[in-house]
Amino acid sequence: MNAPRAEIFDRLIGLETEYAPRFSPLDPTTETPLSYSLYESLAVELGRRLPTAPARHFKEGRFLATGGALWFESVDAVNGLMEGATPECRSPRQLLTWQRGQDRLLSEAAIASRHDGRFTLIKNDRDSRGAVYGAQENYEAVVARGVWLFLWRAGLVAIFPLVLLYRVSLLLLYLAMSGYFLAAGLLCVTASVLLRRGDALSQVLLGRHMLDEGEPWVFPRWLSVVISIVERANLAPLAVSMYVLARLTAFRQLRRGLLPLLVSRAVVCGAGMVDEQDRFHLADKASGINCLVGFGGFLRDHPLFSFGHFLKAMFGEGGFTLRGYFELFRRRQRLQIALGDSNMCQRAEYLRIATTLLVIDAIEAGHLRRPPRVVRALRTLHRVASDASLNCEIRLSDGGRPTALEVQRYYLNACRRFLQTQPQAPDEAWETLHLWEDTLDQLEEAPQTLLGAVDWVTKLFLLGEAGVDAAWEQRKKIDLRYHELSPEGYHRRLADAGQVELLLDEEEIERATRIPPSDSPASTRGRYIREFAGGLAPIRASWSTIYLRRGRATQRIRLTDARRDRQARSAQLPERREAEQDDAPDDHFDGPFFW
Amino acid sequence: MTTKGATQPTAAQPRGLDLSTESTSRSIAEPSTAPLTGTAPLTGAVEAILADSRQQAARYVGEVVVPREAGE
Repeated sequence: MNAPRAEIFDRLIGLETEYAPRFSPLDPTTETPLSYSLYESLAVELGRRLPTAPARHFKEGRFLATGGALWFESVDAVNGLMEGATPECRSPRQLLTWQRGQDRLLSEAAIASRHDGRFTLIKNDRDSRGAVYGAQENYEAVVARGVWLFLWRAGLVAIFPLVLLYRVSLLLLYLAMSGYFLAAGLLCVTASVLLRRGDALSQVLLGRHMLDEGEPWVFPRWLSVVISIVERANLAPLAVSMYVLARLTAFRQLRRGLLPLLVSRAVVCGAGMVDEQDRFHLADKASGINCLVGFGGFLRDHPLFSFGHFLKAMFGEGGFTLRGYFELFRRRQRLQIALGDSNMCQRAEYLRIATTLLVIDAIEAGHLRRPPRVVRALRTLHRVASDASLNCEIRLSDGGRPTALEVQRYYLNACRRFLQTQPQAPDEAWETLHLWEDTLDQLEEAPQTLLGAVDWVTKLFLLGEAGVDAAWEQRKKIDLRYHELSPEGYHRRLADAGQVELLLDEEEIERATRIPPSDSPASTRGRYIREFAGGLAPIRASWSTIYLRRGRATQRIRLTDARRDRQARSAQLPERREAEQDDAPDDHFDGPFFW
Repeated sequence: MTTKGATQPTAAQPRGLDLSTESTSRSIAEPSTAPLTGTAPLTGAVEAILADSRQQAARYVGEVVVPREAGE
């Protein structure tokens, strides 16, 4: 007898990828441009290639006709990373396609955007000094059920005064800054007129000479530090409350069920890395993960599960609106996994998304009720990710000591049992299972057969060919340039020589550089951008809304998940009376999927 | 919290593009085969990679540096 129909490969999913910019000037004596300048060049070039619209967001960015976005992930005004966000997709294959379309679009635009040097993007997770960035996965999922959902919502109500308090403190900070700049400006003008020493004073107080045009305005370092401290102090009460609430109530079942899978999955989808001590790791990012749950940056934390988007919802997507906060009350939210390498091999990237998604589907459907519990999960994650022999044991609370491959096989078998109860499961779910099983078999029997299919295997092969006498700099260059998105990148060279495995057709990827995926909020976003970008009605976009300026009025078009709307409506038809009392509308997800 | 003079790109005009929904293609379980194997002799691509990796390696490594807190 079949189990109740479960949702399989039918939720919104997406990837965010931070790319490290690399610039090599034609004239070695010239300075490397600031990363914000590189971002600007990239955004302009993208605008030549396809319609784009400025983002209405607290971050600098542009939405693309593909439904995805380009962001400047900034540290300050002029330093940061380029971040690409895929449009919201449905299936792992669709997501892989749009990720690869994004990689191609951004990398080609970057190369074409500068004539004063070679500007390329590196799709990896660590720079040469060990700074961590890279990939994040997003899965739409049920945040909690039953009493935990009640507690999640009650907690949101309880911390609402802190949200208001933070908004007020932010407003006061803006007012104080405005007052400061007004007073500093007047002082500098006075000093310039009376003492002819305005420039030096202006440099100290304002961070630039008053009449210095053309360069981006950077706050003086001391002022940036003061503002950062004040901002974080203002946010601290809200952040602590949100952390406690999310940790206690949000995605409890999913976090517990996914943890052993994530701790062990570097064997399948690790990107490989040479560390500062010249040791090889299976995964690029895992050793940089320093907590299981966190906000991802608030206290220099690099969590496995990130709740940063919950905190950002308090800020308001496009200004001082509380809409983002109220959307946190919905039953379906975004589960963000910040562990995961920026893969170059299609099979590795596909399995990273597809196996995680399948396990989420199984957990939400009530399978995997008693997943294994990993003892000292963070330490185990680091050990597994640094063991290329694949023999590292994972200590479980029941006394078991399986290897990472055995843990992966446990999940594989659990997902097989789950799919056997679901006759309507899409073919792609079964295909995922077969690809997963083949990969585990190959890893057990002959890992070298996965050259060109699994990144760490491919990178380890190249490092081996370089020889044991190769200097660290050469080995590190192999590690880094493997991820360079240009014809000179090492993975790309292998691909051009026909020596990597391809899951996608060229035509599919090319289409994903132009159009959004179907049946997703991105479809509507992409259509509006294509239709109105550069037109008479200025358009701005966000993950949840399109803003069209018509004269003095702004028309807002909400981007809803049309498929889920239809499902909710059809579910209501047979038993409308019961459905009206049900919480089905809470399943409707029309909040912002990304930030 | 700074002033940036972002340049506004001009939107490109689509010219005869195929904007229909994505095509279906082969199954994900039928990838192209990867001819590279660990026991095969070095291919030209691998040799070219190794040659490049020896060139100005320290300079290249030094160019891949992001701001310390960028990914946080």
